[in-house]
Amino acid sequence: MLKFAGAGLIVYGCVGIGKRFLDVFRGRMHALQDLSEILELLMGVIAYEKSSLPQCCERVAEHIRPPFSEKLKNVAKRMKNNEGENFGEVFRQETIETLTAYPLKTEDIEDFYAFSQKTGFADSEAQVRTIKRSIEKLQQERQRLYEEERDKSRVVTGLSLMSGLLLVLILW
Amino acid sequence: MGSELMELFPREYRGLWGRVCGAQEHLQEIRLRAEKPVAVLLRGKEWFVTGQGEWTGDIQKARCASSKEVRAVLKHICDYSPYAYEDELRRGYMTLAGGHRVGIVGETVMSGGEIRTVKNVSALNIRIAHQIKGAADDIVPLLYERGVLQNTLIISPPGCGKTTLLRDMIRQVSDGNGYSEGLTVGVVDERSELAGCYMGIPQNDMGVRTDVLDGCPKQLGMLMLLRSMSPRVIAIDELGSAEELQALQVASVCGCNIIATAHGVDRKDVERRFGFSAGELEKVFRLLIYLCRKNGNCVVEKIEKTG
Repeated sequence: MLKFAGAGLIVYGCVGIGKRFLDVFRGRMHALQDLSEILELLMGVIAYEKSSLPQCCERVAEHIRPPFSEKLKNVAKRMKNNEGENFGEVFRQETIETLTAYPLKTEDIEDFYAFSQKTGFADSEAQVRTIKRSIEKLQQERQRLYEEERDKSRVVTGLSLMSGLLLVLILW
Repeated sequence: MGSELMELFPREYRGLWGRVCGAQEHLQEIRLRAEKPVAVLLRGKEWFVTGQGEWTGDIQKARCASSKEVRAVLKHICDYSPYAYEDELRRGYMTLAGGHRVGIVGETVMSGGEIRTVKNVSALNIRIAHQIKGAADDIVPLLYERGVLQNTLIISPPGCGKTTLLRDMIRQVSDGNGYSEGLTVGVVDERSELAGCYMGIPQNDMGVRTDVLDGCPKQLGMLMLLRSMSPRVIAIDELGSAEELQALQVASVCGCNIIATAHGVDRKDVERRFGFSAGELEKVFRLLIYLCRKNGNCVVEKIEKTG
């Protein structure tokens, strides 16, 4: 009886590890979607109000949830305090901690930051296009993950179950 | 005070400006020209800035500003978003927090016969705002006749303190003084020089009863103010066309008192310069104040009552 309970726990544990892997994978997809939404809001404010980037951060912060809302408010606040730092620097410093806590890869984070390194356009359309490019890259990555999700989910679930059973057989 | 001016510069250049910004109280202008010596106007005298941030009268010791520096300063002033300052770039100047103004020149981009923007910015002229409270102390008693404000025109050549005097007159008329209670003043500040509005908020003290319409053509603005804010007094800087004088007449007919300034040496010069027919100014203004410069100081040269 104890043996069966142990075997069950081993299989459950292995499936759990597989599920954890899938959660990270799905978490990355959601994070990519969140980042795209933030950029879309920024783009909308620039296109409609032609507000400066720090002002846009302040406006967007009103429409998103923490922790990003707080981080964007901090960006606007620091730019207002005007210690001479450039927008790209401040934007990165304020948001990097939050982004690294998300299941994102370095290239996702760099795609998100790409627009903040390209500033100084006299034409709002040009600034909007840099944000659009960041959104496109994030969305392409998300789409790729979405297409892989079903297969990956099957493989991971199957493998984790099989490895659990294999471990049970070895230990039996 | 100095740190406020320092905010105009990006961090990498702040080290060069500490000394200059420390003298903000006496500083009038900073001129940054690409590949040319950095110049400042201090107490009416031109100085150059060295690589150590000191000022010198010797142009050979002056530091030349690079094109990169000029562009970096402009980008910083624009909050890294020049597109948000499209109108300001188009008209060639912008007002900053504190009421300071930055004049911009470079290569203009035309579209449909109009200036679309300025690219390859090659020079910046940072004009430091100085509000002199009390500048109109000696004039204010003369503005009233039996407690009633007279329509007043300040006439002087450039650089004699017209705007400074007008600004303080507006403040004192608005806040109230020993000769009259405070009056609602409507100011049309076409070039953001009087109130120095930044984000629509006057950076200079214009008085508690003053409404400022910023960046609006004067003749349109005066009529707008009449309809929307029902001012008791309308004030404009640099009266310069027959249309503006007509709008002032309308305001006067509506019962508003007028305070204005105009470039010129005397009444005839103003009439000739702006195409006003003889005696037209007299129809609107009761008091003409002439300013001039004597021994480097701005002084009232003459006060004339019309009619």
